[in-house]
Amino acid sequence: MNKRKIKTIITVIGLSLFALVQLFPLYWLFMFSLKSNTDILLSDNVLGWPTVFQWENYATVFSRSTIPMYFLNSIIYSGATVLLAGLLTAMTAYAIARMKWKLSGAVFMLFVVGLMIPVHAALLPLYQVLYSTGLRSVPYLGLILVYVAFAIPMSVMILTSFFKVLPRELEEAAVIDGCSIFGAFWKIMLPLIMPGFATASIFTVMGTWNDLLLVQTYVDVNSLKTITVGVLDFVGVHSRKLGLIGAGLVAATVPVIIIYILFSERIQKSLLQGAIKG
Amino acid sequence: MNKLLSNKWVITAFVLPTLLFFLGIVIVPLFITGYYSLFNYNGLINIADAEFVGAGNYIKLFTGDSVFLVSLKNTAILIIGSVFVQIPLAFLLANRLAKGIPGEKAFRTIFFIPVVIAATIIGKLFYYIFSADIGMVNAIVRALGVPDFYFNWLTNPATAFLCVAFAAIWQYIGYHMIILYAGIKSISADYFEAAVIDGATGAKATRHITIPLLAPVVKTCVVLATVGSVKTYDIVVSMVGSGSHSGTQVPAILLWRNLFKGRLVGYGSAQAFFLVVVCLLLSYLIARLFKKSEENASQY
Amino acid sequence: MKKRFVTLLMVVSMLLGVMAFQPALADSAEPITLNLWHIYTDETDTQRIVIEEYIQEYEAAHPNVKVEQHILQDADYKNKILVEFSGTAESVDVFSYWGAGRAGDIYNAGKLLCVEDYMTAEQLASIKPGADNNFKYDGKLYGMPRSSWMMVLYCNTELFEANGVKLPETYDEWLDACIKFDALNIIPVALGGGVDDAWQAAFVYEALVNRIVGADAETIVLEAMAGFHDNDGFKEAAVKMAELSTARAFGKSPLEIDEFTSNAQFLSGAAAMRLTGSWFTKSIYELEESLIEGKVTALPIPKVEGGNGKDTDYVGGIIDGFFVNAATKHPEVATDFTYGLSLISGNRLHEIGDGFTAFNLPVDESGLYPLAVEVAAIANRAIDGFVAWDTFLPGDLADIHLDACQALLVPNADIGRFMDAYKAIFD
Repeated sequence: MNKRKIKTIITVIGLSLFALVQLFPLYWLFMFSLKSNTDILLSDNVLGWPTVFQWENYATVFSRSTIPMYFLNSIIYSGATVLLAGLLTAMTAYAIARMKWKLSGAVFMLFVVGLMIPVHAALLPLYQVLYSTGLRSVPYLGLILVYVAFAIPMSVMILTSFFKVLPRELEEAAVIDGCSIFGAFWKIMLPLIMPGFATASIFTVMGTWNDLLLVQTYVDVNSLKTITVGVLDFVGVHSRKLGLIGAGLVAATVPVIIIYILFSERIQKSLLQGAIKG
Repeated sequence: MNKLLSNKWVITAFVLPTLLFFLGIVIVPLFITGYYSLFNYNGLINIADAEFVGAGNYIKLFTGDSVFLVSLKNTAILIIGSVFVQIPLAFLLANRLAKGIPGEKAFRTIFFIPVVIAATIIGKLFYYIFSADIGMVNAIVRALGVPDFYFNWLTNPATAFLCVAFAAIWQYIGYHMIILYAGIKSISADYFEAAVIDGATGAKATRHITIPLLAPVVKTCVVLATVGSVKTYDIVVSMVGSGSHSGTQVPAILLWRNLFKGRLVGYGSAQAFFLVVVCLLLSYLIARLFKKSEENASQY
Repeated sequence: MKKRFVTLLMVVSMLLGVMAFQPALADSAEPITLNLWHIYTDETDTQRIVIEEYIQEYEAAHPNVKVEQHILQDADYKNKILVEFSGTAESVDVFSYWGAGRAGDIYNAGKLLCVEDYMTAEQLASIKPGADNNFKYDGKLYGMPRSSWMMVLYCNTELFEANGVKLPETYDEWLDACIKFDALNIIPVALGGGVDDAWQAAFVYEALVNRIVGADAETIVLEAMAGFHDNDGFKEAAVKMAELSTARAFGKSPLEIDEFTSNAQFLSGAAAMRLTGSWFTKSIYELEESLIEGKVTALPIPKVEGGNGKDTDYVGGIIDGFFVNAATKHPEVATDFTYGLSLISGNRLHEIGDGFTAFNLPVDESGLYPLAVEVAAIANRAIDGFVAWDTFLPGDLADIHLDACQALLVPNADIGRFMDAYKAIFD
């Protein structure tokens, strides 16, 4: 066994331990969803198993007729936001990172400002703006527009930094081959930026899927609500089954993790392609 | 070439739609917030009937509001922790994974998972870890041989916010790791090949190639970490609540209280606007700090 | 082609003819949608069950009315109501809310409907005298009261007897009992005043104020929003609360305990006492984690020697209710609906021991749990009371009060700082 191999093994063990730590919240949440109130509130066994496995919590959550509808809505909101925001920000990030115009720095700073706005601050005025433009009455659209707008700064930042890292020669080569800048963008730059695109999309999804505040403020119709809101159906005024809420949270969290894992695959694929091309 | 890159039509087509979206939904409300901050407004009455106080709300921020100053201090703790602990850790992990290791894909996927889990869940988890009565930490210390150990991690003002910061910083390590990882992977292999020829590998390669070329990406992470620290909310509330008793409040909590619970829309707007200005200043400072390294990177 | 056209014409004119007869019926019953907003998210909650049943009955009795529910959890609900009422709140017709200062904000913005103008004399007379104090502004009724609650000290008789501790009737006995239980490693008073349930911490303070200052003086000060610092009783109440906290009456880390944890502590028998509202009686009998059914008695808040509180003073009252948006398109229907809802809710909650109805009409008390009967007996003796301050004061002042009370649970609580905080409210 040479030194290198030992080093690798130790590294892998270290990383594995860290991986266990990162996975702990999921394990904990799952156990939480199967515990009774007494187990959760009174026993000091955070790591431990429930004394009685309350599988009926999951039965209750999934027997609700509203759950599939909420799921579907979450998917619609997140999906639409990713596509729309992704397209808009890829174009804008490219323009800021690679094209020459005086205002590029200022526009970039403008987006950065957007990132800094604590949502609570904009909530009330934004509501008043949307209200007066009548956008609230169109199903889905109002909230999607809000999600896209709030996803823009992050996406622009990530994509800009990725575009900047690409070598200058790429556009020159494309132009020599007879492409317009537009063509260069679509055919060459965009495919190369896929890792960044997937990364930005993950963040976009995170901002929309787990969101509670915006959905509750801008959506009144029950048939348009998302799964994160759905979990609150189990929250009572003076008494509540915490395990039931936990089960709801598991139901709301697992899909995001699955979406994330799928996107992770995409990053991996794109990176392999990128490495070969580059 | 330069002419092509300054084509006004293409630039407009690429930028205008995004800009319009953004201005309408994010910037306009921000200015409205700024406008409200000049009044004694409770959100229910007509703004036209509200009393104009000019800079009054802003003066109150610094003279009458001790909890606001505490919340700013807490934000500073979060920023320092993320920039000097979270991001370096994330870089080490990203770098190690990017170099290639068995199980790289799995590790990368797993490390990010806490980020995907809602902050309220993470907050509750850490409540059960640090709780004095039923928490894991105290239980472990007791099991390790200190039978009467009992410490109020979450309510002792000296440790309370540090525990919250710990949770917040831990949750987002994977966040920065993934950004840095993609950045490292985007660095063309040519650079590393050239380095090998020059005799630089391993740590040397990291120092002279990876880090400088990664500068724009690191800047992104630093800005995100800073801004994220300012906006922290859910994890604090679910871990210790929104009260002021143990010095754990953050600006977003105060904003929520003032704007919604307390109906102090005018004052809350002033706090919000002030925070935005602070963030702007911080971003500007960060941008200047990084400017040098970016110029170096684009020379390659 | 022509034939088809003529047929079409005939069909259309027939339809028009038929429709011409409809107006007589349609006019008297145009379709109405009422938007009801409330915070009862849990479908097993009695109030929610009452709402669902009442909506069905009402829609059956009034076929042209459709009721749409909008349900949000408490904290988010308050956000949403503010956001809605920052405009005209056109999607809000009827909503559950709290009277006095809270609804007062909406009243001051001119957005509350004066329901009195749309009620019959009979309906108005059915409300118990004084029950609507917190729902009147400028002498007129702007909302419907529902039911009242009362603060009691629940005691686990088994723990008291087994350990030879006397059920406390005075503050001194209470403090003594707490010290004894603490020494036995039993949580003396389960109090969920930590985290975001500061209102429970405020309960202790308000209970002591009730006994030291007395309900009458308390009411005068709160309604005038002045005189707090002139009455030493307010300070003494804070001193005593800090004394209890230091003696570990509320456990070793009261600031970490929220309402549900403290409920669990008491229901499992880990705690000897629980200071909370009369709604808790139901939990003792109905929650599966309750191991103490039949082992609990309810006591009035312990008296303080030398205090101005009368034996007939109590903490509690009627503050929850239903309100109507002034901009509603159907004020008569909305008011009629709201009256019925409040009446039935109040009575039903009364019948299960979850409150005391605000209305005069007969209630069936036969189904009450034994403990609820005990609590009702205390309530029947009570005359003057005051509600929890955070339900009375407007939002921002309520927060100051809640924060201050919670701070009394900190070790070595700073009484001077506590008193200073109230200058923002009362001066």
